[in-house]
Amino acid sequence: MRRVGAASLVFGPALLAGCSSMPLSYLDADSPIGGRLAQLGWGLLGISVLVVVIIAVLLVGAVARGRSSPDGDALAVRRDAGGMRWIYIGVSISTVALIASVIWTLLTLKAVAEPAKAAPMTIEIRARQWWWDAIYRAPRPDLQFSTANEIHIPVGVPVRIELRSDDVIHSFWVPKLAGKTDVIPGQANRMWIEATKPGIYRGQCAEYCGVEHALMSFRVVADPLPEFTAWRARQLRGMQVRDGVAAAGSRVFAEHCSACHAIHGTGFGGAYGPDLTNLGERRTLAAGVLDNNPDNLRRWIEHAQEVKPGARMPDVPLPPNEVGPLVAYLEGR
Amino acid sequence: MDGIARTAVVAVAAAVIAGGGTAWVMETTGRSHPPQGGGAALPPEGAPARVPIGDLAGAAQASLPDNLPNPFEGNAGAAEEGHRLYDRMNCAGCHGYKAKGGMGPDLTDNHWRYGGTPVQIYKSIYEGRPKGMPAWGRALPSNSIWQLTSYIESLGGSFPPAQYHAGMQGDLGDQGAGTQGAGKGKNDK
Amino acid sequence: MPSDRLAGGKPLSRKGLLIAAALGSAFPIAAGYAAYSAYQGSRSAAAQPASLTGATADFAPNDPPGEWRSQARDYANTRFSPLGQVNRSNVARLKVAWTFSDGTMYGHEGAPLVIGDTMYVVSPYPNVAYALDLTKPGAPMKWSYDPKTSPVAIGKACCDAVLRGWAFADGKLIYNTLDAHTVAVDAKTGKEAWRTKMANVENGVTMTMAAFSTGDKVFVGNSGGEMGVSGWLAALDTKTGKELWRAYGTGPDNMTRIGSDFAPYYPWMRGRDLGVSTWPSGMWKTGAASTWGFVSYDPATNLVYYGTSNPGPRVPAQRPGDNLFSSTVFARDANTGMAKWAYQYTPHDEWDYDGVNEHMLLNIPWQGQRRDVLVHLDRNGFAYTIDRRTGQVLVAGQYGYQNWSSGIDLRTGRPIVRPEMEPKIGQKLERVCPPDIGTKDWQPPAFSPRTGLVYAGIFNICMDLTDHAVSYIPGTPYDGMEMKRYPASGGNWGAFIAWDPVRGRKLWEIPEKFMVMSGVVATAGDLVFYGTVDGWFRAVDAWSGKVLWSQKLSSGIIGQPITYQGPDGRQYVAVFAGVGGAAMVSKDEPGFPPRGGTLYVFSIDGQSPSSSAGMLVTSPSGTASLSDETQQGRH
Repeated sequence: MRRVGAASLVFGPALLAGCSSMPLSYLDADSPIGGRLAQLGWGLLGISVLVVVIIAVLLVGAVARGRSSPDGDALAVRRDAGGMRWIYIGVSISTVALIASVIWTLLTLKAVAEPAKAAPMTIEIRARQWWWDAIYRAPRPDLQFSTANEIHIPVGVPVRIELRSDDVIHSFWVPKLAGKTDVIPGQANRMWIEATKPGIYRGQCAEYCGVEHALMSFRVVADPLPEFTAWRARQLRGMQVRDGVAAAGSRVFAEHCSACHAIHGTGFGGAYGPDLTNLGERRTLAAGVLDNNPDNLRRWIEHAQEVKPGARMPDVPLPPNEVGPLVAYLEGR
Repeated sequence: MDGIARTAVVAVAAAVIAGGGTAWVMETTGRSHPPQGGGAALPPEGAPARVPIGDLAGAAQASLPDNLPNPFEGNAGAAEEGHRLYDRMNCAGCHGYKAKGGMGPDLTDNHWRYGGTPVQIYKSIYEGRPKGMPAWGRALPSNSIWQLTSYIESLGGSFPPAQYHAGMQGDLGDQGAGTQGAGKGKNDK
Repeated sequence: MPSDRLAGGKPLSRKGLLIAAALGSAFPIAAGYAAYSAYQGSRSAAAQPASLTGATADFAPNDPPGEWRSQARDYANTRFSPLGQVNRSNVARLKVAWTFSDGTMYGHEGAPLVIGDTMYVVSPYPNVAYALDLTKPGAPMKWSYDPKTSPVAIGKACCDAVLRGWAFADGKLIYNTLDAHTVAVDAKTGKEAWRTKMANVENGVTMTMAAFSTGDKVFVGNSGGEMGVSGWLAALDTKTGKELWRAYGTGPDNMTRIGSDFAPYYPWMRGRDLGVSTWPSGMWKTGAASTWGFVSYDPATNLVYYGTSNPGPRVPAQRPGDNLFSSTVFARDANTGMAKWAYQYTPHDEWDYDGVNEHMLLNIPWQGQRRDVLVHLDRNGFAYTIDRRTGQVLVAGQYGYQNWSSGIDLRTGRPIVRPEMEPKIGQKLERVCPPDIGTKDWQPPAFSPRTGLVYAGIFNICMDLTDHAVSYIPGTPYDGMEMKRYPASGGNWGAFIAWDPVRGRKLWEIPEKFMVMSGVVATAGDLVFYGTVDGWFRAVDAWSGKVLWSQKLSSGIIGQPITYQGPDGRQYVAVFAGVGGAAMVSKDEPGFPPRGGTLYVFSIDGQSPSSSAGMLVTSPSGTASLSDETQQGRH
């Protein structure tokens, strides 16, 4: 026991210091929820470490004291040396500490359950194997649109998230913005997120959901309000069929891709795969797996099963004179 | 202090092994895997289907041998993915969510106007057919069409590859068990 | 003498007395004459009982009584024939006089036309037209015309490869082909006069509705509410087939032809570009609102009235919003197509309640005045009587069992939807009534001015519904509804009813084991005719609802009966037998008939020039079309 305690003393701080610079670190949060949860996390960690330290000290002290006073008759029955007092003290302190932790946890949960002001925006997120479908709801139906895998929110505005799944249980987790919320087929789970600083926050599916669970991540991009409004306007406008090389690309898309994928602003209405409107603006492809650049897009189209074996996106081998224009069209060039 | 040193060494070694192992697993994920399913080689891609989606067809060149088996034979996952595609590609809209027919024919019986062996079903999907069956050969890669074929075979009305001639002539309508996949006749429910 | 003086003190002269006597006796004489003429009048009125509702109609264009020149007989869509030779006393003697098979097996939904001495029929796919010479024995073909309809259309038609009728104008037979063309055939020669391609069938657009003509214009619309099409009604010039205007069912105001004089009665239908803003962004383009029902026309105001189909996709979860202008009745100017008013029967339809059913133009007594109305028995289970000048709903009476709503709020004009009947994707919703095909589908009712009643064949069906998410892939269904239909109660799939459009109530109902999906014809002989899906053709007393005559035909009846006077002066009743269409939802019911395609013509005792003793032969005539589907028998 004392060895493990010592080891944790040595390695714990080192590990913690390393964590905070990683994108999935929930201890270094940029949101009201994340902040509260991080506080709670640090606090409970501190209490736990303190408890471990106290117990380790007591244990070491007890063993040392036992050694330093050798008694010839080791088998003699000893008189009660008053150890019960320690137990009473220990149980009381533990009880108080635990109850305090419970209350702190409950208060934190209550605080993060609802945003301080009403959330003006709702995004319905449908977790699919193995990507994320996002439908931006609005009171006026014609301001609704879909996107996938990269969710934009305005900075400083609480956003309500409604989580649904059509297949298996997933879990929606953006560590820097909020805790995990399971996405369960047959019901809608509701939560909210809010970013206090602009930035790109990585999210991850946190419930095993099949062969590509590990590669089911996403990005939440927090933009200042003007940028967010512009982004939303671009999504509503969609992509038009363009001239030149992009026109050839849109023809290829029509033939080979439109049965599964939709692009807003065109007649392509496939709803099996992610909506690809303004794909060129997204930072990643394939649910956060690949960086978005033409080479990776080409690799994803032609060899999706190498990148993410078992994913629903099939390998789509195309002649070179088709895949080039297609990539150009999708990247918005 | 000798105990602490030993503990430290063990901890470091464990961390190295664990970290290294994880890194190796991450690194090798994504390497190419061989195509699923055993059996015959897949047909070459880009096989001619000279009509785009939604148009009438039927005149495309037959570029596949009639007795080609389904490369996904025996693969239950292929039939399940085929079922998902069947719903999402709107096959269910014409042929019914239980494949019992509607705007298009019943796919669960063993009555096949254009043949009921796997490759004949594949070609009907790939090429389209004159009375409004769209040609999916460009919209779906060939693996997806084979998955759809697997699903249709799982419905029980199709014929084994070796019986492609008899299947066209309706000779197998009375045969039940014993012929793999020979399905139910029109009278059976 | 005191009696000789009047009150004023002037003396009464003899002349004055004579004048007073004459004036005084004028009153009793005038009163007596008034009473006498009233008595005379009431004596002749006693021979015909008074209308039960006071509803009347304008029968313009007042075609010759022995002819049947358009599907609905008149612009108001009354389907009422002034012929009375066949009446309640002799209808039991109706027998088959002659028959004609058009060689096709798809559902037969249209009504024959009789202009002069010629009968015109058009088959379902492949839409071959025949002209039959009624003056000669055997009604031989004068000509046949094959428009070479594309077979692709068969796979794009949701509900069988049907045709719901054809029109006659300017010496031409004008009709729609399944592959979205409108053709005009010279009635004398059978040669094509013009052909206009209206849409691309590869995108899932078909045309099945009966072209409707007002003389110089013919109105046609598309089908495809299940295929994610963009729905429209177009007006073509009868002479040339050139398109004069096309009004869409969804989209911005310039596409739906809504302008500054658009004045719907209800505030929630007023606004700019509602055909866009009541849909998620861009979804109006695949919003359907197609026009596959009948059109009616009011010559006094020059307005055409028609309804639009369900919104697309059929899965409501994918298209929040009211989804204007689906399931809507439009009143449009016949010359320009600009909308005068509109009313949406089922906002944000979630059960496929199209608004395409017929709009009969009647005039009813309403709170002490006469009002011009339209009467519409909607798919959603409510029968509407709407003021056709303003669009105000006067009556919305339930004419069949329904459980999707708690009624229509007449103040707002909106139905009160029951939230538990709203389908969600992936969840099975049980016992939704009426089903997608409604309490009544497109099959048109008839109106009798003698009884003042509307007669209709209706359904008694419910459905279990599961919605599935759908993609839009052009040429494939944009649908998503998985359904199982069954009778609501009592085991009978259908019924035939008499409806009072003024008070909004049913007078009587004849339950039928199978669906009643035929049109209705009402005659001045106080008869109404209808047919059942298992093939019974019936004549009913229009007053009492007693079935006076039944005849079993070769297949189920989903077409529209007509009655006409032949060149021999006899009155005939004609209807097609050939089941198909939406009647196939009951195809697993024991007793459901096989398909067919035969026209039956009936007369008293079956007498006609086409059957009598001796060797009758066919006069020289045209040949049947050599199309694969008909002459060669291929399918």
